[in-house]
Formats: sequence, structure tokens, C-alpha cells
Amino acid sequence: MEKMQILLVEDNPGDIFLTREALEESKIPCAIDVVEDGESAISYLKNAELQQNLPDLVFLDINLPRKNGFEVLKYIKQAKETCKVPVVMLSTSSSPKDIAKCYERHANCYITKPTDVEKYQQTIGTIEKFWFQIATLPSSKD
Amino acid sequence: MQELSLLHIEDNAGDILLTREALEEICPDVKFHTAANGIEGIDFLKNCLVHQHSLPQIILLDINLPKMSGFDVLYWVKSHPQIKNTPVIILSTSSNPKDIQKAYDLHANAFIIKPLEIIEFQNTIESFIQFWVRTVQLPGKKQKPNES
Repeated sequence: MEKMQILLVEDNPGDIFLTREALEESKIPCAIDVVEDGESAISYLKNAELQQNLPDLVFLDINLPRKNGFEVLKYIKQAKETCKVPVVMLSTSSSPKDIAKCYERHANCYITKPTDVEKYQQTIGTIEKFWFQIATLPSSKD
Repeated sequence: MQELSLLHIEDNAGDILLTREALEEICPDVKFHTAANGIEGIDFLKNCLVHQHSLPQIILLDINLPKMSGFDVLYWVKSHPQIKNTPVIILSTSSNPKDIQKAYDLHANAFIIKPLEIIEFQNTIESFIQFWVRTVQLPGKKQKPNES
């Protein structure tokens, strides 16, 4: 089975560790690339686009150094090649303004990070199950 | 679990029944609205705005619909300033990559291929609920406790 390519845009080392661990336990094999700030995320995507190797799914935090998650989301959803890539917003914020702002910019879904470790891992498992087993991704070759 | 209000735009009566049954089993308080074609779906949404009723929190949308295709409905929803934030999940028998790409291009929030087998269909709806109702923060809702 071909590995699912995930781009995780996250600056918190604890969240990176937990997300990586939960995804590595998944039934679906994943390759996870991590970038820790918004500008690096945009550079990564520009490079991936040139190499025609865009990620299947992006996990995107909001509060990031250099460029924030809103700016990265705007870039992804406005660029012709990257606009199809599903973006899962994963943030500690549960502010209705932040949630609305992400949906306005065409985030595919918004998830508030649970503070409890076990729930955090369950949440990553639920995301993985929906996007890799239930939904069909735009990168699907079927 | 929070109360769920959903609009299902679908012309196949069997699929509506299966979706409704699976949803009601998991979310007994679901407000399940149906529209049998694209124009009815859009009229329903326009009426919500005119009569100041709450918009559905999620739209489940088929592609092959009479009168107006699911793509046209999707384009209309995602271009409407008051409705565009509502998540639209495509639920279609099509597995044609062109349809899948087009749906994501038009800002569908997700694309699900309808399983043909009943048990699998029910499991899909259950996973849809687990994700979109129990995990995701929908727009226009108050803070959700971190349920699992």
C-alpha cells in the first residue's frame, strides 16, 4: 500500500510527538513531514508542487511563528495546484471567530486540540479514520 | 452530544432512508431535512435565511441530481456570503477522479463514495457522525467540550 503523505505544520514539540505517535500507530501507513513555522510550510508546499509531490493531507495549527495558520491556509486554498489538498485545522483555540475565519478560508474541517493526552491521540485516530478510510481524497488514484 | 441539524440533498429514496435511519440511531435528536433535487435544496437554504431559521450545520450532497447538479449546488453554497461556511460533504456513488477533483476544487469539505452494501453504508454514516459531529468544531457553534 502506498504511504499517505501528511504535512504537519506545528511548532509545539509535545503536539508533534503525540501526533506523530498516533499516526504511526494507524492502520494506514503514513509518511509525516513536520515544519514548525508558517513560512517553512509555504516553502515546503511550493517545492512539493514543483516536484508534483503534494501531501495528501495537511494538519495546520493557527498560532505559528513567522506566518500564522490563517496565512498558510489562505496560500494553500488560493494557489491553483494546492487548493484541492484537504486541510485539517488543529488548534488549541475554540474561539468561534477563529473557527469561522478558518471555514471562510476554506479549511476542510476545524478541530480543537484536546488537552488530555489520551483524548488527543483518540482525536488523531478519528481524523485518520475519516480521511483515510471513509473519505476519498483528491489525490486518490482510483 | 450536541443537537444536529442536517440537510440531505438526494434524489434516491432508498439512500435517504438508510442515511436517516443510521443518523437517527446515533443522534436521536437529529433534525433531518431532505431535498429531492438541487433546486429544492437551494430553496430550503434560501427559506432558512428569509424566515430567519437556523441554517443546517452540515449539508450532505449527492452529485447526480435532477434539475440542478450537485456541483451547481456546491458552487452556489460556497459562493453565498451567509451560507459558504457550512460544511458540505459530498456523498455520491461516483468514484470518478474527475468528479472527486472537481468537488474539492469547488471547496467541498470532503468527498465520500457511497458504499453499495447496507452494513458498510451504515458504518460509513457512523464514522461520518463520529468525525463531523463528535470531533469537528462546526462553524457558528458554541465551544464544544473535548468529546471523544
